[in-house]
Amino acid sequence: MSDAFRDQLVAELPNLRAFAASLCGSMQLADDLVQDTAVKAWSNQDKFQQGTSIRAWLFTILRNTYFSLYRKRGREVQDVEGVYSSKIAVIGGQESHIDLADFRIALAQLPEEQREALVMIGASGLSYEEAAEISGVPVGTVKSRVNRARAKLAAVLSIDGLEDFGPSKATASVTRSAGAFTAD
Amino acid sequence: MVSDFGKSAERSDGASSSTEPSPSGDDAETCLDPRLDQLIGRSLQAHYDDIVSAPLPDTILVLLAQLEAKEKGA
Repeated sequence: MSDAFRDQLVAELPNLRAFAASLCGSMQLADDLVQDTAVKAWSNQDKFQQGTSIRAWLFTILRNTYFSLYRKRGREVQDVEGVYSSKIAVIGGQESHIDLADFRIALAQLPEEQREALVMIGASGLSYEEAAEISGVPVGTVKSRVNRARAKLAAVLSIDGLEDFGPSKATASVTRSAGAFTAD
Repeated sequence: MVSDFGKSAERSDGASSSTEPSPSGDDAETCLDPRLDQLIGRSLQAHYDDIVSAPLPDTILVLLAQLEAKEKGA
């Protein structure tokens, strides 16, 4: 039994890590969180119901660990620029680009509850129902958090490019493609 | 999943507007341009996948091996 559980757990670690990093904005803290979560999951493996989503179960443990422990310790770090092993990466097609580093800075500006909702729904492949259960809020609240997160990201990424502070090429090209609807 | 992002940004024209329940009620700002919405969706996925595809730190794998060894030894 524990072999199968171990395999499931190991298979989920990369996703858990991506969720953790999105939540806390620090790769180092994310690894601490994943480690704590793995230990807790291991010692509580009898509580996991086979047939349910192990991803949702692990995310719940990680999230609870983060909110109950790490944040109280005042370890909230949003040193986004330095923490991700950021390669130069560009997202998008020919007419629209967002630099990965720029996107992460924008993501870190979202309120935590919006950021986690956005990541769970938009990247982790969880359902609204699963995300709602993980966050302990109604489904409608998750939906509205995701919507607000998207709107805020759109605003941040567009405005950054519009302001004349010498925008990077990446944000400038976002502005170009976004220009049509930021103008009105 | 990413396709979800585009969906809520599309608006049906007029006819069904009074009967259609708003997905979230309080969000007037849900009507982003679909292109920007898709760009955000793709960026989010790229951010996430970048971490998913990165190698796991050895410490976590070592830890799991230790937990397993402890359990088998106990």
